[in-house]
Amino acid sequence: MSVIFSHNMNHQFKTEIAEVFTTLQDKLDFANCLACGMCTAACPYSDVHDEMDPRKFVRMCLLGLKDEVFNDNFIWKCNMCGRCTMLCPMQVDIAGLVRTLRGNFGLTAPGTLQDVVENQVKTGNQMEVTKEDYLETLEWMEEELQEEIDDPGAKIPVDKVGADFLFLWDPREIKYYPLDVQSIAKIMHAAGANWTCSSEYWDATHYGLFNGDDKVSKILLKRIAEQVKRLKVKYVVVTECGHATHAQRWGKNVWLTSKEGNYPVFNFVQKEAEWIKKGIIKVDPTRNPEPVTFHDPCNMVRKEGIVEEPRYCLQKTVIDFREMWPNREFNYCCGGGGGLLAMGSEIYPYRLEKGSLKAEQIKRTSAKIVVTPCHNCFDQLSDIIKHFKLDVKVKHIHHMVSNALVLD
Amino acid sequence: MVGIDKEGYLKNQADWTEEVAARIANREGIDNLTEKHWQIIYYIRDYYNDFNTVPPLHKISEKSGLNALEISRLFPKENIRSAYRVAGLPRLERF
Repeated sequence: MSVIFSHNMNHQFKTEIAEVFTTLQDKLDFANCLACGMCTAACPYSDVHDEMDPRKFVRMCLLGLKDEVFNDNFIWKCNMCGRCTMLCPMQVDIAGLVRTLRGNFGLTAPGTLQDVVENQVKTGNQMEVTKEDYLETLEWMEEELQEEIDDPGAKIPVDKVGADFLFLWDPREIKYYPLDVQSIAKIMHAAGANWTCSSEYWDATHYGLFNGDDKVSKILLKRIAEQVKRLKVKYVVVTECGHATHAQRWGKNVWLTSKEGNYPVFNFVQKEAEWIKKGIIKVDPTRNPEPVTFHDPCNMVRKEGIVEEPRYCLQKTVIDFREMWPNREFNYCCGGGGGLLAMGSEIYPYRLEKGSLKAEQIKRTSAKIVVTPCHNCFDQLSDIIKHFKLDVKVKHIHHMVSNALVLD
Repeated sequence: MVGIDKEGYLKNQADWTEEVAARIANREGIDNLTEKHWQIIYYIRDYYNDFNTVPPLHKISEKSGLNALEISRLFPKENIRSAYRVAGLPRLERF
């Protein structure tokens, strides 16, 4: 049992935190905590790891126990999934509190996370893909798509001024999964979308969200805002990536001025659902006969409210869709969120322990495919499947949609 | 016994031999390494030795004459990321 020493309490601490808290709430709202413990009950991991106790962590912050706070594993091991805040009667933003502490008090992100952030600032994308490799990959996938559907009119437009929307990629798609590029471009082509990619800044992901560095976050978001202006597009569409969607939507309200961030941001899943609903693309669910379940990415579902669109896509493109339980905004984090996936191999066993909950959820559905519109979740789910020896494949929504596409 | 970690990476790069590659491949769901596999594996190793990073996929495609789908069929589990493991490369960030 831990002891609180009054001489360790620093009543200024919560004000120090509030001063640098990046939030759309009032900056001191986190001090409204009632210590009721709903957050700890809501945290999926409070029963997996003892230190996953948000109630205790918030209390330490409010009591000003600085040393205890900064030595607490909670700061870097919390997935910032926000399930605690959803159930908190006072809406205390614990993920925001964690992010504020990570980025504003001289801490260095563990493992490789800090390097990823620095790479992203330095090279323009988190995986150091060169401009040449990026453009050649798009060209290559354009050619393969044309061959696949036997239509030289299928294009992956780059720097098309005046297109309806700018599409942002996850560098992972360019570097390791170019077939994802082909799959997405195929859907765009079928929908007759007036879209473009940017040759300059095209990375949707945002590692400043994870290490809490607001200076970095501003740089990254401004780059995207500049592309919107340069290419004169009406809106931005983010690839199937949860934290990127949150960073591009919520982020422009906190890191950009209202003039700079004066453009709507959607996730690709929303466009896919819209195109299916309006009959713009035709899909045949018999092409996806295997049982499918859906993993809700926290950043997209709980934080951005994109809940029904991915389900609509699945209901229309697969025969047998099964919800896991709990689902929607009550879903458990996969265990890879909050930057944990980028923290290197040291944290691997820890995040796999977290993944035991997800393994159990997936197993209970007896599904053969788990779909998730998020790259972080995708990698964590792949690790979970390997570790727990599940007979399941991981897919994105666009894989199911492009596989079900009926081209006229 | 040559060490392979839980994530399937070779612990010590110097331990790599074709037999070790076959063992790693087995864990990646590949029963038999064909000529095409070896061509890609050696290309990845040479590229890594020269540039200290992994080759972009479009270069692997160019070199092997295979398209992305064919490459992904050769390494069915995690596509090119499993090829990097079979080639004995160390764990780079988010491989």
